[in-house]
Amino acid sequence: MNARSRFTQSLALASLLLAGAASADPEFNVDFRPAENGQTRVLLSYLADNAVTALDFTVHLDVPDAFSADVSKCLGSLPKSHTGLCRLDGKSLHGVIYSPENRALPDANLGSVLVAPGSLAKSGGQLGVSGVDITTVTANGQTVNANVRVQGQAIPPGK
Amino acid sequence: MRITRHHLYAGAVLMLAAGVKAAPACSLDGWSRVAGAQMLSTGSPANGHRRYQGECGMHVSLDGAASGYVEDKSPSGETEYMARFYLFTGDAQLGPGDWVDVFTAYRGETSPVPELTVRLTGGADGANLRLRAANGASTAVGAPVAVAPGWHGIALSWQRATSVNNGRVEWSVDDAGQDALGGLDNRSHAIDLARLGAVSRQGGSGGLDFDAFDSHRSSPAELLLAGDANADKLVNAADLVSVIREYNGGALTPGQPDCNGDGTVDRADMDCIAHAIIGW
Repeated sequence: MNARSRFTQSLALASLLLAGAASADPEFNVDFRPAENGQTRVLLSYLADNAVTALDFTVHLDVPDAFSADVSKCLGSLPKSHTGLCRLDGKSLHGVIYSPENRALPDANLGSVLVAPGSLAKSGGQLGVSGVDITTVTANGQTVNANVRVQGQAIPPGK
Repeated sequence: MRITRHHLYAGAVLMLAAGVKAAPACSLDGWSRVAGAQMLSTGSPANGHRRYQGECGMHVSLDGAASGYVEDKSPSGETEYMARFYLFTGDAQLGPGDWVDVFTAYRGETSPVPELTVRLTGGADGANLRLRAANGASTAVGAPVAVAPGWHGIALSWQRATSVNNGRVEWSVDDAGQDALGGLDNRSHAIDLARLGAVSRQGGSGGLDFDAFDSHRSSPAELLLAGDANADKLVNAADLVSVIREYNGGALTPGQPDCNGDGTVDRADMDCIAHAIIGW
């Protein structure tokens, strides 16, 4: 029972599809997008398999130690059937999503993390993902495989 | 109530009935002896009992006789003894001067002499747990530990002296620090018997609940991972689903679903587990 998918490629390669999109496995997406005022938005989204009701994840960020970000809306777009918590701990973004009624998590934009240009400047423009751990669980408590995709990249300041 | 069978001191008290939905058949038959049986009962949440781990727990009423406990005679001249149990204090009413000895390990069987005693004491500011060990006279091990109403995990480790006055005892409550007392004069002592419940008491009313007793001769008897509802020694989304299923009428979880230790499995435990997962 392999419940945990781990993505270990550098961000430079991350736009590649990492695991079979044609499969029925659920998919967890991390997408870097340029945002207003030079910020970078890290979008989190999910493609459902109609079986998973809860998941937890850790996104390992490839950033220097001084990194900071606004995670207040990290899971701010969850469907009403689900609740979640998110926390940035150094270079690791931890999250958990569940349904108190044990309902399947549908396709959803989960939320986003906003990285200010000042934070990127401190990191010399470096912002990427070194790995993602995810546990996806069905309504009957079984863990199932999930695919992970990382797309886009941060725009270093001044470039 | 579960006692781990594969360790030294054993006695199964959980016998599962056939069928997933059936209430489990809980029993105290695995213990060597039950004293004050009218004060004791065992069962699952399906019949109003509290449990910390698995499906069954043991309830001890404080409204009846002076004592009621289960006894484990499987220790025999032990020179090292490690034990763990969980105690629910939320239904006990203990005023100042009231106390209950909830666990005692003894040397000797026919005329047992207390070697280690865990006492729950009432007070104006709430209850305390304290440990005393035989060291010539009975001696306190560390300071009393204040305990809020709820489940509390207690772990003990006792070692007989191998030379003059180098015996040692350690204990912790809820993994929050550890108190120890060294230099014990107990070279001729041993553990031969253990009792769990209201072993002895003065005053008090209501009741206490016990679960997850485990004891060893050498390896530590460790506390259980709170929130590990599916008993896989991890806390992750699978534990959330296990608790959600139980809360919504599904099967009782095999692990420790009562993450916040308040005696019930509900949405607050889901939130507790979610916080544990993200380390918050």
